[in-house]
Amino acid sequence: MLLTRAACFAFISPMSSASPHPLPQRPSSLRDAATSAPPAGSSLSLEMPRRAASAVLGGLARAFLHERELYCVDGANVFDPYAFSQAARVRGLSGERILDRVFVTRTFTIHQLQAVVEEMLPPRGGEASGPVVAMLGLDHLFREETLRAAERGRVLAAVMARLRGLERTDTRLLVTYERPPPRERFWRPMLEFGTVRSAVRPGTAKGEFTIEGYGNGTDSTDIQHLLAGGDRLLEALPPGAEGGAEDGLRPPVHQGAPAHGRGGERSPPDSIRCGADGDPP
Amino acid sequence: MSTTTGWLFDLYARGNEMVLWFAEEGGGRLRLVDPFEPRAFLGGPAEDAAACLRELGRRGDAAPEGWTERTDFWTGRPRPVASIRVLRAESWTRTLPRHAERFPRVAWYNADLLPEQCYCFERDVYPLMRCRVEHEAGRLLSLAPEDGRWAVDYAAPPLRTAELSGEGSLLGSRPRLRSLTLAHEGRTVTWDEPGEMLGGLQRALDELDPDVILTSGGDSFLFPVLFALAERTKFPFRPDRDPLPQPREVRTDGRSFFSYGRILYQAPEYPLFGRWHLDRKNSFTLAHDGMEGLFEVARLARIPVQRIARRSIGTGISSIQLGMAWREGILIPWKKTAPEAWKSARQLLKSDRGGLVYAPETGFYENVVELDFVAMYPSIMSRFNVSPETVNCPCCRNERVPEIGYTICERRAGLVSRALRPIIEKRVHYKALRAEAARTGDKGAYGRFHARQDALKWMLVCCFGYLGYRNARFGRIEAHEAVSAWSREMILRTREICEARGWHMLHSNVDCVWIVKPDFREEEIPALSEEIASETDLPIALEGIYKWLAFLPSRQVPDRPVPTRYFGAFRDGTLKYRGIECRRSDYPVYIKSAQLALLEHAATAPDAAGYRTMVPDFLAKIEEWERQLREGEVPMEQLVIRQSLSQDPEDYTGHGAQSLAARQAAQAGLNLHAGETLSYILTSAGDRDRSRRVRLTALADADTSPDPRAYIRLLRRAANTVLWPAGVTLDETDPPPRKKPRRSSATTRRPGQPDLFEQHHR
Ligand SMILES: [Zn+2]
Repeated sequence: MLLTRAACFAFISPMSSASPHPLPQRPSSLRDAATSAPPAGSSLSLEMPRRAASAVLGGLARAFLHERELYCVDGANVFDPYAFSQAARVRGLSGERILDRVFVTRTFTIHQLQAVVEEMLPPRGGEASGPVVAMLGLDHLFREETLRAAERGRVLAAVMARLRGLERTDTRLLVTYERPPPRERFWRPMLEFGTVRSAVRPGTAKGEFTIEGYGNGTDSTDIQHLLAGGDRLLEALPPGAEGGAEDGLRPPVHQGAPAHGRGGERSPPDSIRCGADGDPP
Repeated sequence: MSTTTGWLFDLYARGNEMVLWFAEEGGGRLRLVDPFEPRAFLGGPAEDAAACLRELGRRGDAAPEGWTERTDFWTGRPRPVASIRVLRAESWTRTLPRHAERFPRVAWYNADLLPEQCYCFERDVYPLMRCRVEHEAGRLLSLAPEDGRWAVDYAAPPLRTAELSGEGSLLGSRPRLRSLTLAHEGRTVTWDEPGEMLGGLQRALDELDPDVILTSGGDSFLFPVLFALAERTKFPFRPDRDPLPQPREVRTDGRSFFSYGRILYQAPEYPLFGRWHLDRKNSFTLAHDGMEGLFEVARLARIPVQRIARRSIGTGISSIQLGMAWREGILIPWKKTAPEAWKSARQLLKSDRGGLVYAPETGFYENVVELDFVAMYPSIMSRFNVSPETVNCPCCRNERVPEIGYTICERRAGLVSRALRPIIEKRVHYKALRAEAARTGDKGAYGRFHARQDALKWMLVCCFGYLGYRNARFGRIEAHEAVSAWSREMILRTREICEARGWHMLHSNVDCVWIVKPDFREEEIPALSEEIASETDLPIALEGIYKWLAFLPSRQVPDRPVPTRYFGAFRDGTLKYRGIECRRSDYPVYIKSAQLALLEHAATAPDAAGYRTMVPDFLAKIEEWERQLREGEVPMEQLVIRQSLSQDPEDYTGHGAQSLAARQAAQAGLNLHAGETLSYILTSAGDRDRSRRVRLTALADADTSPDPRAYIRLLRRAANTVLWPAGVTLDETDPPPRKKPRRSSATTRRPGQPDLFEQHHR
């Protein structure tokens, strides 16, 4: 049952006219999707809050990791092994074991991102089946305002061209990004990518997510169940928050919790020592 | 030909020349020019590079010098590159990206350095260098240094400094200046009439001819308003010393921009030409370490004073590394940094962990010993050769980094580690000089050496951050992880050594440990430190022995310990506190000084029992402060709350004080941006009309009065931190009175509560 839910998530199809980027082609049937990863040559693009990436990815792990390795290109410093493995464990996977089959590279400039896409993809994995590549927070670095728009546009075009080339191999692709700002022309190569496109949105209640444009009667209940009510992890993840809740994998604090925290800028040791805590007045 | 001795005061590029200003020993100021074209390199596929070279030449942007060889930063091997001279240095920052876009396969090296940096690297000079100058007809002939960048006993030039201040507002479309004041050597001139200000200031500047104009807010307010006023009234305002007209864009408005995940606010900048404008509010180094610290950084970084003053500390350390690479012929790649190699999620769990923290055992202790590793991260980088190009190098395989098994190159000494060594040594030297000055009672020398070593400390602290920083030129995440891994290993070893000698570790935080042992003798500590130092190969020093020390629990979850929330008094009576209210920027000065006053009183207590007997004194003081608050005796400026805006004011929602204040700013048309600071007063905290709960200081008027209840709550919160070790808690909840605050009675107890104070349960 869990398997079905997790896998069909990979085939969320936006149908309502409200959906910002209509689908070029619809998946043939949800039944196909339920059994394994998206077929070769397919690519899924999801618009979602940046911080939800690890949890959503963990939710998809069962489908993606079936005899495959998952390679994450993290453009927004969002991949959190704890949140990921917990989301995967909720779906019956061994959180410990899958961590050896997930690989990550973090990129901090658009030029590094371009170098990864051009030089490190497709990854030379040891397994027979083609790899799954997840581009997490693809938009993030391209929002950098100290770079010229023309330069960013050129690099984005080069990255997307390379990803389209990968679509023609046995690589499966997942692209995640946040709702882009209005300058849609700039983002077009990214927005038009993906044989399946949809969006994960935080719901009205805290921690609730829904899939926008997913209109397929009973299945929509399934999806919403997966992402909100039925999913312990996403419940625990407030919109825009980072990381998961209590997690067996997280080391107890006395064994060396990260002093610098994940995600934010790595601060020098002194500023940690002088750092404030507690609530503002 | 003439010869003179003095200091290199300032330099800036104009066309194909560098303009150099010298502060002559006799007090004269000398302007000279020196022809200069910065050198850069390009490589990549030969045909692309050749086409690019033709284009550069055709457009007159750069002159090719031919092919040569330089050292590749990543491999350490020679690489063929084409050398070019940049012909129009001022416009190069705009033309370079265009060429780079047109020839995307061309690799650029040393291409985005400042012309002033290139000049200093190539001529081996630096700002504030003491030198002998030969010149003729306004041109520099030769420049011979008379001190060294690494000297510790250099003299700074005697400079004429004037302080410029003004009052007015940036509100609305037309910024206004109500008064303008220039102070110099105890003399003060003030102009109140708008018509007189520019003329008066210009005459005063011409007459005094100051080297430095100091301001607090000159970049964001004073200079833009003065220039705008000059434009409006067609007054020829020339604050520069350089007689030639200078290119300058007048903006009254800074900008917020999104950069690598953070919102930054950049104030406009108003440097002067031939003299300096330094703005304390737009300079971390000047604000922290004064002129001495600023000079130290400018000399080492080889970046002109006005510019380095306005840049982050990271710019300084990065420039030292650049200078070293430049002088050694190592190519500095432009924009291209190596991506992280694939690592499994399990490896990521291991490597991405930061420093080791043992959560403190919450409580109140006596005779705690604190040992601190001295500049732990920079020392690790320097001793263990951690640098972007040495981690997981292609030539070696030793898996030397503990826990994560990365390799460190055995053949090359890394650039970052080599650049750090002399800085670490220089700081040690300054600290010794400072100690010497303390011994002899030379206050001037003490202040000077303290400021210089402090400026170096910030550089060293930054260096580690830069190694992991996304956009840093010499950043690399694996190097950052290697340093963290070593730091964790060293804390583990330290713990083992301490425990083997019968100590108990109460807390450790990245690079310091707090330990206790019943009835220890002070003489044991040097031997312990030595053993740790030899076992870790890192210097460690006794920070001090606390008479008493409190490790506080979290405010939100009282059972949970929090690292870096503690306060204590050393045996010599010095206080040390972290993470408590008086360290926070968003608490009003009045509350912070109240808490500090309590702590200072507590510091006289010899032990924990003595501390507890002081509670009645604490309570008496608190009661007096509450009275002052209730009766409106506290000056308003001491109650101002300052918070940095994390987004633009109009984007704030919610009803917290900060959101309300931010929206007030937006509604008033106040020009505030994300990243800027918001100042406000709590005026009527519980008011149904939310707009009346807070008042921005910029909008405060005669009717604005602080809400005593809100401030009493803050005071009690801060006081409770100090009272915690004694087991006493003041009621922080809102008292029920609905009378006029001014007339409210002294009691703030809740119904049914017998006493103002309740016992604290642990
Ligand atoms: Zn090597």
